[in-house]
Amino acid sequence: MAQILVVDDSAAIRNEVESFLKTNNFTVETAVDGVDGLNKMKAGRDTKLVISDVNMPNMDGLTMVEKIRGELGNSGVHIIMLTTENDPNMKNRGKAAGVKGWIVKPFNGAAALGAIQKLVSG
Amino acid sequence: MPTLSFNQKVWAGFIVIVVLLTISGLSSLWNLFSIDGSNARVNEVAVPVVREANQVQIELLKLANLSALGFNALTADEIKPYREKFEKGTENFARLYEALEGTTASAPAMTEIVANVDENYTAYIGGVREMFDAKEAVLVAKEKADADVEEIIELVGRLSDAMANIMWYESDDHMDDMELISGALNQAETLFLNVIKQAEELQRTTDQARLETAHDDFLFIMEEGRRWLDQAFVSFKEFGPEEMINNSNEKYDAILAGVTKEEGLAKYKAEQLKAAELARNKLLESKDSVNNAVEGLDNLLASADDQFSRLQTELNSTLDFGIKSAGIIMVVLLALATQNFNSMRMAIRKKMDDLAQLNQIGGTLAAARDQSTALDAVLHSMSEKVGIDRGSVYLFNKENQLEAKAFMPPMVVHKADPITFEMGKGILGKAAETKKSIFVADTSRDKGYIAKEGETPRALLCVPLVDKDVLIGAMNFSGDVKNVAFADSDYEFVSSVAVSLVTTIKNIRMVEVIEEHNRNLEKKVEQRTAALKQKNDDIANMLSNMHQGLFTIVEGGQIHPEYAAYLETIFETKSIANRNFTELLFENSRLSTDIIDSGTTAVASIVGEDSMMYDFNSHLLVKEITLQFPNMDDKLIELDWDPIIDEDDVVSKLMVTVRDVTELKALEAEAEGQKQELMIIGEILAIDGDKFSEFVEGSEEFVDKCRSLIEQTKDKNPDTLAELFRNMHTVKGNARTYGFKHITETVHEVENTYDRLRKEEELGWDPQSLLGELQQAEEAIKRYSGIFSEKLGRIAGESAGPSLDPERVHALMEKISGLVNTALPENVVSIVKDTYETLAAIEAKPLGDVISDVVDSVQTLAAELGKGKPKVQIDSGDVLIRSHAHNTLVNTFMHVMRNAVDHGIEMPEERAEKGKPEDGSIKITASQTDRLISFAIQDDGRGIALSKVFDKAKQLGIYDQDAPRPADQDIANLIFSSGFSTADEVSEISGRGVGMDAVKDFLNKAGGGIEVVLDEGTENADFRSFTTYIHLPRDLCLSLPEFAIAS
Repeated sequence: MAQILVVDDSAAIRNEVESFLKTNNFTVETAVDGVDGLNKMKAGRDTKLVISDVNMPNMDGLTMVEKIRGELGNSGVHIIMLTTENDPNMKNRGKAAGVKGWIVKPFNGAAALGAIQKLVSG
Repeated sequence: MPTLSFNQKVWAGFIVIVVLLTISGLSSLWNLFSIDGSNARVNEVAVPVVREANQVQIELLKLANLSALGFNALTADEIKPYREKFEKGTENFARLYEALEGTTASAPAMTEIVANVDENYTAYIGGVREMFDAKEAVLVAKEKADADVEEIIELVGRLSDAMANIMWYESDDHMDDMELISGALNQAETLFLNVIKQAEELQRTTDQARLETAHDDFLFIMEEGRRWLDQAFVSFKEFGPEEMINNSNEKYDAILAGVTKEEGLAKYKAEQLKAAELARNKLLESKDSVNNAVEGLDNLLASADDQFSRLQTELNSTLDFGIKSAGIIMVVLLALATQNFNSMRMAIRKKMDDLAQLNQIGGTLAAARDQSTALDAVLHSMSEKVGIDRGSVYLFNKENQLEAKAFMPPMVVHKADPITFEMGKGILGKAAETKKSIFVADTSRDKGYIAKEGETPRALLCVPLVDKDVLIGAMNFSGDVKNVAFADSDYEFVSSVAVSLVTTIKNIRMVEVIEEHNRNLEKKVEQRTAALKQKNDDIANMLSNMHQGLFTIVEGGQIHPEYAAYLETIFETKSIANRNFTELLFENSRLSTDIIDSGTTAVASIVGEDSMMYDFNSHLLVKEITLQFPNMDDKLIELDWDPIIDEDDVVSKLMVTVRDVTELKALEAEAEGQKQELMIIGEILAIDGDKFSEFVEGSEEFVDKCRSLIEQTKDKNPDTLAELFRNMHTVKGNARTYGFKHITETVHEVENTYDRLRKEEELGWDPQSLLGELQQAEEAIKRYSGIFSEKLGRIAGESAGPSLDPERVHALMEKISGLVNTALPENVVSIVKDTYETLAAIEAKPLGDVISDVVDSVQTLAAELGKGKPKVQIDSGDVLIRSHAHNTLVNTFMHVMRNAVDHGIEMPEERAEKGKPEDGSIKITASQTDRLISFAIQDDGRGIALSKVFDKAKQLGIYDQDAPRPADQDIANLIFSSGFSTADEVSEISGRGVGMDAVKDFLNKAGGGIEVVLDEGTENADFRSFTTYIHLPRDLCLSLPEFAIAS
């Protein structure tokens, strides 16, 4: 199971983030929405980090996070959300579900690299 | 009577005494029974009354409490338990009341009071029950009202949804109609929302009048709303689905029914208010009743008390009777008993007095703020109690001696002469040593006492002050032997006082320590505060004087009130503290909303969050803004963002540094300008003045040609474009040779435009913009010549050297050429040759000199391309080329030789494979015919790429796609066609396929020509080597005359 799981309904964003991470020697897997992401998390327990969009069809990002923590009982994996907006309710819900951080799109790999490395190794 | 002996008399008297005793004893017994009876009566009657009356009173008060709680209940569920408890309470009360009735039955006065209590009680309960009912009714009505409002809100919501469906109905053909419809529906929605507002108001109101008009108010709104709906539906019916309209109407009807029904909000509210009124009244009434009942019970207690006293008096009188009937012995017995009783009573009274006094002392000691007050208080009370008239209290001093600290009566003691005593010496010493109080009733009788001379005997009391077995001091009291009364029980008293005093002294000392501590703390706090104030002042100074706008953003996006004053100057406002940073930074900026939004979002997601969030989102923070203020030039602002991270790794604040870089940028631009100028000067100085002048002249000519071409051409014309392109290409090549970067770049742009115009069909012919562009190129050239003349003090066109009269030179040269027919000695010949060359050099130079820069340029080119520098061999014999042909030659050789280096000579690896030397070579030779001077140029590269040329020709349409390959020489000649380039990339460096046709054009115009001749080789090869021939008319050249050497 890969180190990092990237969940986003936009193929462009999935590719961008995935290729950046791979260039930096991370193993990456992708998912297209919350349902897909949840299934992939069920399959593998070694994932260290999940980077997920919030607004997705079938199951949104926050619901997926809540299920990862609740149904799957996985409290160890770090989770970062990608978002375009700054709604405090969303942030609170995220905090309650154990989201570690928020990245406002566009994704700036260079700036985030250090933090991502820390999360994957720690 | 017989005479009794003395003994008998004694015995008789004794028997009489015994009989009397028995009688009195019996009568006493009988009296005791009586006393007992009275006692019993007291116990049977008065005491129970008191007890029961108390219980009833308590129960009553409990009920009153419950009724108050019930009144204040907020919901029906809350009030139920209170009611239940209340009912239970009434049952308890009934029981207790019955008991009380029974007990007081015997006393008619009491029975009356009890009946009165009952009356009040019944009234009270009745009132409370009614209050509870009313209260319940209130709560139920309230709940119904609340439910009603909820329903109304729900119904209005459904109607809104139905209307929204219509408003969002898509109909391309009826866009205008939909607008109107949406407008009308919006109006309706506003009205219906009002319904909710009304309902909520009603829910809250306490005004009866309001409730009465509620019905009409609702109807009014609904009718208005109905009108808007009808207006909208009339239009919508024409093209929209009917179900939508029906749906909305349904929902409307539901609301209408809801607000106009009988059993509705208004009615509930009215009920609620009425019931609340009733409950309140009932509670007030019942309060009165209960108060009366309680009063009644108080009366009962009073009467019971009376009875008790009466019975007590009865008892006393019985006692009296007993005393009278018992006689002297009874008196004696009673006296003894009373005495005992008395002393017991006295002992108890004394104990109680003692306690009272101890309490008082305790109180005084507790209030004592300092040691001397405490000591005085103790002395005072002891003197009152025990009858002493002198006292003192000793405490340990610094030298660890017991020193007298307080005196009664007060005495002044000199500090230097304190009164002390030693442990073990005297009564006081012994008391201190043994830690036990000692009382000496008469000092004259006690050996242990250290008497002073002439002292009258005194009573002495010494009390040690002990704290947990540690002696801390002693009290010493003395009084007149006759006045001092010290009983055994008094030891206890005195010990208690001593303990209290010890505790007080300890407390006072602790207080002193704490106060000292506090004073120290206060001092420290003062110092710290002063230091802090200093620091704050320093920081404030820095903030107000620094020339950067520094501020911090706290959670919530507000600007912290402490910011650098310079910020006000930058943003032209004093209103900064606590403002939202977005406003301040972006209000006067020209940034797009998108950037502002993401900047604001970024900050919000960083401040107050883990420092990781800064790493993730800092790239969205705006780094540069342009501010526009009215009546002012634009300001260019740079921003630096720094997170302030606390010990939990959370970004507590974002620090922003703002710099006004407008001036800086202007200076930078100026410096850049000057730098450029210096660069240009350097470029100009690097070459010969003449060559520069030639270059400027030639380039300006080309520009003029282009200008007239553009002005004269009406429409897009491939030939015109080709010539325009060629001209600029040539200027560019020359500029590049001399390293005039600025001109090269500008001209490249122009050249590019012409190229694109040629290649892209859609681009139209826009003379205005082309002329504008050309203008730029001209300005670039003018810039250089301007610098040349202003800064370098020379004028283009003038030669650098001393000026010679060209006619004289010419005449001289003619004369010297005439010498060819004269045989001259060898040394003379060489002198004459040199002279002729020198003269000729003024206006003609050998090829090598003319194209020296070209050679440099191609060598640079080779280096740029990663190829070895080619060896250039020029063998032009005695041919000198006149000045006005220089440009043409330079242009021509430039094209040919650059082509050779770019396309012909291979990369070092390829050359190595082919066994060629690493560096390429170019050979130039000259030859003459009658009319022409020809230069042959040959390189040792791979030759012409014939196949590629053929393919290109097909692409350009010169040959058909399926045409057979023509002869190699024909293919080779194609390179002189315009539009030709076999380079795959078009770049500044490589030729563009117009090189050769431009060259041919030049030369033809100058009266010369150019051709490419393939060397020996196989037909249909991909590459074949070749020689380029450049022909110039003879009159452009000058050859050195052949001088005959005299033998």
